[in-house]
Amino acid sequence: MRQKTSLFFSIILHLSMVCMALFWQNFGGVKIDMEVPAYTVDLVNIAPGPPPGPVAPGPAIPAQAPNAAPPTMNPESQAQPEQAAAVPEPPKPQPKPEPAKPEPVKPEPVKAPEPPKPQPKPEPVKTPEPPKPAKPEPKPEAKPISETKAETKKPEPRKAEPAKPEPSNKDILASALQDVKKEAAKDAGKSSGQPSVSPQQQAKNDVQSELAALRKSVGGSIYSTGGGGGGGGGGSGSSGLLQVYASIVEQAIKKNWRYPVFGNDSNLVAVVEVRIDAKGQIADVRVLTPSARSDFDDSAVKAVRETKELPAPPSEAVGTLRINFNLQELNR
Amino acid sequence: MDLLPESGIFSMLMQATLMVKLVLLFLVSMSIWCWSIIIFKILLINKAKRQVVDGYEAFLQAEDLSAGLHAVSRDPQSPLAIIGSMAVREFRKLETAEIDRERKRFLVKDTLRRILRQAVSAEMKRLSSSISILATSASSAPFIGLFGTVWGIMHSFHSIGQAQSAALATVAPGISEALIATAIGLGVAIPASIAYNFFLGMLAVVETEMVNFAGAFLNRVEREVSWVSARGQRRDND
Repeated sequence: MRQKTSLFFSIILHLSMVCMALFWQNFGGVKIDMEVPAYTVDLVNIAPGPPPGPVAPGPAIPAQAPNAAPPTMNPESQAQPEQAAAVPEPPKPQPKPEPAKPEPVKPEPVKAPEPPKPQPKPEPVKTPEPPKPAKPEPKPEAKPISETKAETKKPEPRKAEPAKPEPSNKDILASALQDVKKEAAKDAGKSSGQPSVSPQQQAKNDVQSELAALRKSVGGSIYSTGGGGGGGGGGSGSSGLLQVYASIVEQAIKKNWRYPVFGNDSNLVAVVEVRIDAKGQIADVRVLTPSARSDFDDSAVKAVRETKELPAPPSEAVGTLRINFNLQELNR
Repeated sequence: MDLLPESGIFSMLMQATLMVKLVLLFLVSMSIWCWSIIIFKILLINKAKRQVVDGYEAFLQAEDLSAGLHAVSRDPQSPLAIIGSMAVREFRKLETAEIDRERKRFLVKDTLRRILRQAVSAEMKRLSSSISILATSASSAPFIGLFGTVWGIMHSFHSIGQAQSAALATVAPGISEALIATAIGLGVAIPASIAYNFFLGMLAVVETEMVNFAGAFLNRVEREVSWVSARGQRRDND
């Protein structure tokens, strides 16, 4: 009897406690102190680079542009990535918050990493408009990671590319692409080379189909990383992991990088392209954009060669990494 | 100190994991139970203490055994009244038993001592029942709360691992939410342990008084009941 009353009192007590807490909460509100700095802790050490600026509304790189050929045996495949972009991007001057060190401007190769897929798709000849990437079937892999990412560009003097972009090259490439696609439509993705095409086109076809196959096998996206380049623009969402991987690789390689600094000659920049297979082995090294001094380029290549172990890339395979070697990094 | 983070208590509790919710529910029910015991026992033991102290004084002041027993049993709920009545009943049983007088005289002290001890321990048992729940709560509630906290922190770290970035702002709410379980556990344990020790002290006082009363009762029986003392006169009216 008395026990029941005491239980009742106890419940009343607890309810009053809860009510008091609620009342306090409504009464006190939240005090936000703007003086206190907010600390953010990043568990992953991202390579220092300027944060990605807001993506300016510009003409997006067409998703179906024929790609810059990766290093192959064909000298024709030295076609520049710049020519792949059907719409030349106007360089947008953007104020970038640089982390307190003057960095030399450097060319960033425009990326158009979408592999031309052998698909039965009637495609008009390329016009300088971004085609709508409306694909009738979902791609099982090779997410368009960075092709939609308009790179924030510094207004930079483009360096003279060491290759010779012929104007006819593009047309040949485009027609060859169409041929390949028609072929693919006929024999289910295998280009067997028509007798009607010229030998040059034949070579192109082979290159293209091989390229497509390779791209399909390795996910087909190129990441560039390196000091001053903005690390490829700072990935967002699913590409963030790959950006992190790229910066990890860059750190691992640059640990082995040695080059004597001569003081005044500090404007050397070399871009090295590294192909990494699924196990994390370095399959291929190539100087993409040589600097003014060949020994500098050699030192960069040597650094890559000396890097024995790389972590295996994440599930979405990183096909190719472009690493910027900048002499200023050694001065730090 | 504000007990609650900036989000409302209900939204915060809804975000917590099931295990943390269960722990919190368990702790809240434990707290309600503990407090009902505390309220009930504090009334009961206080009253018993008052009755015992007053009854013992009255029994000592009374001129003979029967007057003392009357004074003690003015409040029939008093522990001393219960002890006295049990002892008197046993005494009457012994008186009316078919035993020879010398044998009775030999037995009466031991019988009364036993029955008094029984009565005192029965009263103590009644008074100190479910006090042990307070001790259990006092020792185990912090650990239960800690379990909830550890679980919540494990969960929040797991979700941090799944997230892309781990800024402190994303980590902190989960951990503070988990720590509430420990806070509530301590909030249950501290009053329980204070009340438990307080009750132990009060019960020690009550027991001392009851033992004293039992001794005084036995003494009075030996002094005043005629057939118990060896050379005493038989008094029929008693």
